[in-house]
Amino acid sequence: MTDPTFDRRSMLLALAAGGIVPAAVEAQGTPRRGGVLKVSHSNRIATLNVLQLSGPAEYLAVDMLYSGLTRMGPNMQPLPDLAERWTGDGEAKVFTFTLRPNLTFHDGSPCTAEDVVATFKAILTPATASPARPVLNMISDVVAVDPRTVRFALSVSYADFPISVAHANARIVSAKALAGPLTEIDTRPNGTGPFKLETYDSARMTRLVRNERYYDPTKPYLDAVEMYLFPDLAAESTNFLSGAMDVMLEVQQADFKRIASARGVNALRVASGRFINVVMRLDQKPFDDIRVRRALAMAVDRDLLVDLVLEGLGRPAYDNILSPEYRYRIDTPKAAFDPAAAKRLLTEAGYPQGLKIRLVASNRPAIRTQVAVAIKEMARPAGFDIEVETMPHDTYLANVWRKGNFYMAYWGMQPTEDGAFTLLLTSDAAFEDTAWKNREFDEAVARGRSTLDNAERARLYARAQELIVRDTPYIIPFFQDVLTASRDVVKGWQVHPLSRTFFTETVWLERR
Amino acid sequence: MTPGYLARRLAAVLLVLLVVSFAVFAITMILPGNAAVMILGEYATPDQLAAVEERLGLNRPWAVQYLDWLSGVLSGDWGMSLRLSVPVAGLIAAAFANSAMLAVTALVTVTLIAIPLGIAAAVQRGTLADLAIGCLAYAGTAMPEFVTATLLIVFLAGPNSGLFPAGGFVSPVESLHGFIAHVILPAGTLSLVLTAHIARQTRSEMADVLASDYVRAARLKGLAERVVLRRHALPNALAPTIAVISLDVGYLLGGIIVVEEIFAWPGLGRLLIYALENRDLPVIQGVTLVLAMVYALSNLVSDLVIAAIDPRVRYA
Repeated sequence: MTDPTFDRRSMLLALAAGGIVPAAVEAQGTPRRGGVLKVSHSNRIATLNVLQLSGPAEYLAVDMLYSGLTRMGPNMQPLPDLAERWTGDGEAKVFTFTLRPNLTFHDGSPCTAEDVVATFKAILTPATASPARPVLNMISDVVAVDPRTVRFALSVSYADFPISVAHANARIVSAKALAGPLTEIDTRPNGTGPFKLETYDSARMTRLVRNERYYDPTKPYLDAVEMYLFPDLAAESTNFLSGAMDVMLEVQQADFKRIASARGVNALRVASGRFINVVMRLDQKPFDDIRVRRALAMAVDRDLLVDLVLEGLGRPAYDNILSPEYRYRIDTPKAAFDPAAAKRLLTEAGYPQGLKIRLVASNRPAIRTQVAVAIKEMARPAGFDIEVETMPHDTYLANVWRKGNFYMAYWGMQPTEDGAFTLLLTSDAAFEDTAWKNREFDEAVARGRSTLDNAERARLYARAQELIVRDTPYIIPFFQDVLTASRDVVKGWQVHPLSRTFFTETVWLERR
Repeated sequence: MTPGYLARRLAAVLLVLLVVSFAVFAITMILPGNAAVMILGEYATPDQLAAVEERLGLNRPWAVQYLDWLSGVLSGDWGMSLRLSVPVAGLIAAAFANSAMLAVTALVTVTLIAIPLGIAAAVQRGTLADLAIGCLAYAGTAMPEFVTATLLIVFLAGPNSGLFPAGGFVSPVESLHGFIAHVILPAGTLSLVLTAHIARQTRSEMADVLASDYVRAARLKGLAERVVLRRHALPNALAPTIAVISLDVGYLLGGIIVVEEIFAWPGLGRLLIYALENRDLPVIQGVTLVLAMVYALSNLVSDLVIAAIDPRVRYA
């Protein structure tokens, strides 16, 4: 896996050649009804509050408990969920969604346009603290036209709006629940999803059972899903390998080869756009000088990092924030690994004796520290004398994140190009942390989000990517695959590159 | 022992608990970040952070937060978990029950195995059996629980042997069989270290007693060796061992934190780790209070037991 230019198709082929077949191309057979799927996970389900949660196992739980207007499909396109269809006006400023008929919540009460309106109003209220708010804050008004029709008015043109409403935290909660204290839905979810809650013990096990009133009467196939918490990875993988669990939600890189080679196991690698990035403050010395950033970019051996840190389970990246999964991604120039050239550039920038600097890495997840230490060693021949400071995650969040001038960040993939750009890189980005302010980039992104003409969007987003790589506000050394595994009696288990949708209602068991 | 003595000891326990709770509170407050930061993670905007801090009451002065918590505890209200949105008292009660089951299983196992082992070693001093028991004991003491636990998982729960589940918990009310299957490895891990400790303690006490004049006198009297051991040597050797066992409760409290995390045992140890990771102050406070209380009381009980067994010890 050394060629970074391959497209999605060759990625699938590469994976298949390695004996690891992504769910999307796996033969499924005829689904059978019944059975209990046991899923292990290593992060606690601390809350089931769909508007607020953000944990990896929590995303799986709410993908089963709740439905949104739309849902992200495996090919990064929005699929109908509660909404059976939608239309946008020519300017992409007004969107109308039509709900399926006769939707009901788990408690039997009807789910109507009023519930959709109440949900989006709750998300837009700052006190709700919903991660979906920054993604949906272009909504200026949302009204229920009739019980099955919802109309959104946007303050700016936004062509990707049907994807925005697929946000994992924008699933529909009943107006009745939202009128009460919000903490109620932390533990007592009442959704419209394919499964409903039976047991919720965050220290041990969460059990969901088939929702007989799911809008698709043929699904789900399973009778129940049980999610077991194993905080220790050795215990989790042992339980999975011995057959006590059917699915291991997240597999660690270090464990992947061992698990993939075990008998009766399907290990899945899903190419994803999540990445580690080295954050550099562009308004402070020494990174205000593009030559210093370039020098660092050339001092990092990305192929080696993929081998060393990811155990080959990822793809090298060259500081473009978009991975090949994004629709409008282009191939941008690659910074060649060249310590000698990097050293010359650093000398030119005024550091002939080399540059001594401190790089901060939080200990969670461990990959931040691993990459930081690897970069420290790689960049030494180029004249970078990096001291890595590891710190607990809470200290990092309070003292370094968005404050420090040189640290390791870690981001999941975003559903759209605009999502990625406005998260980190536009001048008014939600988590702008480099002080990279580029008016041409801002304009390209703003125009890209409002145009419905695909060719024009492609041109604008191509320009945006060129500008990122030209100015290198981040070092993005690789994209990390999403890893999961299931026993071979489990059919149809899949994880989306965004790790937000799982389509558990289509999973079935060969044994009963 | 007088009632006055007992009252003084209990007052000391209360003072210790107060100091512990304040120290834990102060340390947690001094550290940067708080529960709101941990709940929202990196994806928080400042107004979201402010909203969550407001909701959780984290924006109040520290003295108000502490006194509010303290008065709550004194009136029986242990507060709400900041992260899990459930009452702390219920969380701790459930976790405490689970930990107690694990700890008691381990203690009983240890007592049943370690004391006979120690006696055997003392009686057969210098033989190969003594050496073997000694070596095992050293190995057991030297190995940290996370190593023992991982080895047990690999050898006894791996896909090849599959004798026991590699972690998890089943309530004995739900299924006694399931409970026993799940408790063996975690209790075994805790027992290995404790067995080593207590077997060595019993051996050295027993060896001393066997070398004493009164045992020689009993033997010279013509008593059978079995009777000498059981009636004369054992009661005297056991008194200090019982004291050591009750002091080992302290070790056990540390041990469960590691063992519960590894074996996914939903007890106090795991609750504490989770609360620490998430800066869930009311839970951290509650769990440390319970652990400190168990430790302080077990010390008190051990003193009382020693006094009861050994007539030379008097408390006033």
